[in-house]
Amino acid sequence: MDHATLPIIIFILLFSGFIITMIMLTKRGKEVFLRPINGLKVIDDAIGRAAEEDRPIMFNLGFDDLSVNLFCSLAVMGYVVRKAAKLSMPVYVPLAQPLAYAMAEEFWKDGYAAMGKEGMFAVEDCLRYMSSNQSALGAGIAGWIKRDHVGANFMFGTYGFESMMLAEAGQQAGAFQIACTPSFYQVPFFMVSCDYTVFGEEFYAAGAYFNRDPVLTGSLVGQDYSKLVLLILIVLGSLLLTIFQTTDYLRLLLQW
Amino acid sequence: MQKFTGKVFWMILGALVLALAIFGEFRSGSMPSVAARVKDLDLPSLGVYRLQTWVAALSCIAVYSFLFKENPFYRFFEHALLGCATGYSCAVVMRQNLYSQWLVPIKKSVMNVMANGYTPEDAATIALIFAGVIGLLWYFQYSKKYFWVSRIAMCISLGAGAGLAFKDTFNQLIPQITGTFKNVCPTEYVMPGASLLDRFYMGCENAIFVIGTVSVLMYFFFAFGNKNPIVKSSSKIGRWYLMIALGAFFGNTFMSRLSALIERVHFLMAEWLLISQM
Repeated sequence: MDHATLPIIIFILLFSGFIITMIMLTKRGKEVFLRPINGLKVIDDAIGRAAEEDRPIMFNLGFDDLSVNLFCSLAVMGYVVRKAAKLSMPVYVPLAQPLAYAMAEEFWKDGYAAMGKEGMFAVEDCLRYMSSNQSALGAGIAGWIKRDHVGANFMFGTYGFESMMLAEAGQQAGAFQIACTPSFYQVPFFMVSCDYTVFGEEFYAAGAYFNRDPVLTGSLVGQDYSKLVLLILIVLGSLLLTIFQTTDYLRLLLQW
Repeated sequence: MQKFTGKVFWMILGALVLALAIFGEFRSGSMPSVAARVKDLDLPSLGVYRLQTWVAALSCIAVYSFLFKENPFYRFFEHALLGCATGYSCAVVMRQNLYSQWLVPIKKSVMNVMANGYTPEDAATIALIFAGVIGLLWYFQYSKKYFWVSRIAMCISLGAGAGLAFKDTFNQLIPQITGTFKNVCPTEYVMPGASLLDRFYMGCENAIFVIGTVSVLMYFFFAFGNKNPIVKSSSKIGRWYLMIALGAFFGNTFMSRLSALIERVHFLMAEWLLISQM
């Protein structure tokens, strides 16, 4: 079994320290600034437009199984479902993973229950397990989007080549589309076919952005401080290498 | 009128393709390339091969027909694909996970213990039974009264996943950090024998790399305000870097998808219509 080296232990302690401290401070009421993200700001507009046109909303959770990515997507899904429930709109959720289905069902039901609209739409009609095969998933969701003439299409989570199939189908149906993914290779495809694309680390910020939950917000700020440390380390390493023409000692220290 | 003309055009094209396919079907029996293909694929007869090809070709055309509009032909194949994919993944999980990685090792260890007595390895394998029990807890999702039991399985899966991810992240992080240390002004000492121009190019390349890494990292700061001029200008540079990288990805992936399309068109022409070299 691989054991953590000393630098890794130091990094773990340092980064965990940042995150825990920021969570504690946020819990105590420290005001935290979060940079606005355009793609997330327009979620309300997308829901509103779908409601005006009386067209359903679709929220795709990507390929994620029980993982951090799934929870980030679910946090936003919870927000979208609550907003849609307020306007008595159905939210369709196609799923690629059986275990994700159980989680999504809870979030979906809670969203409608929170607005007093429990039982307004049947779970079986709105939440469908499609397939964990990418081609089948893409074909199934594309057909669903077109048949039900989806008005707002949210694509959150991890995607593979099926990203283009989903986004293109939404585009053809004239849906307002917002994609938010950490899958870097799929970002260009979302960019050319969606109204807004949120990518990379911004995806992980989405949960905190909507919930303003102290744990999520504190983690986000703590991670920013960790990134700052890494940034300083990168600049310092490159400077030292340029000045002394070697950083062997630094490399050895970090890999010790 | 235009819509009608379009419909007629597509109907004529469809009829032509179908006529070509039927004509090809009559020729297939006498074509040596088809016989060789049947042999290559180790199929029992020409009929089986042609049936396979027809199903594949029709599925292909059905899926492409979606580009036109959503239609019953597409819908049929879409549902067939979903059903097949789900059934196939169930069979794979049963065969490759439950049977060969769970049931068979447990059975073997139980037999070993019964024949030769207790060993720590066998006991560890038999403990896999608990994994099965935890897995079964998921089915409490179907019970309204005992729904909470399924959360135990959920929490265990999440805890294990988080723990493993935590370890992996840091193991991957350190080599990435040290890999980012770049010499922006390499001297004769680090590049012996290289000309001044070569060293200059290397320095520029490294500087572009370091600036890119730093600026993209700054672009993904969320909690620090963009009012700071350094953060603001670095974020802008970071955005440019990202857009250039995404453009390169797009071009690269587009080429590979185009290859996939060419492969499909070749299949339709060579194996189904039999009008080009196989």
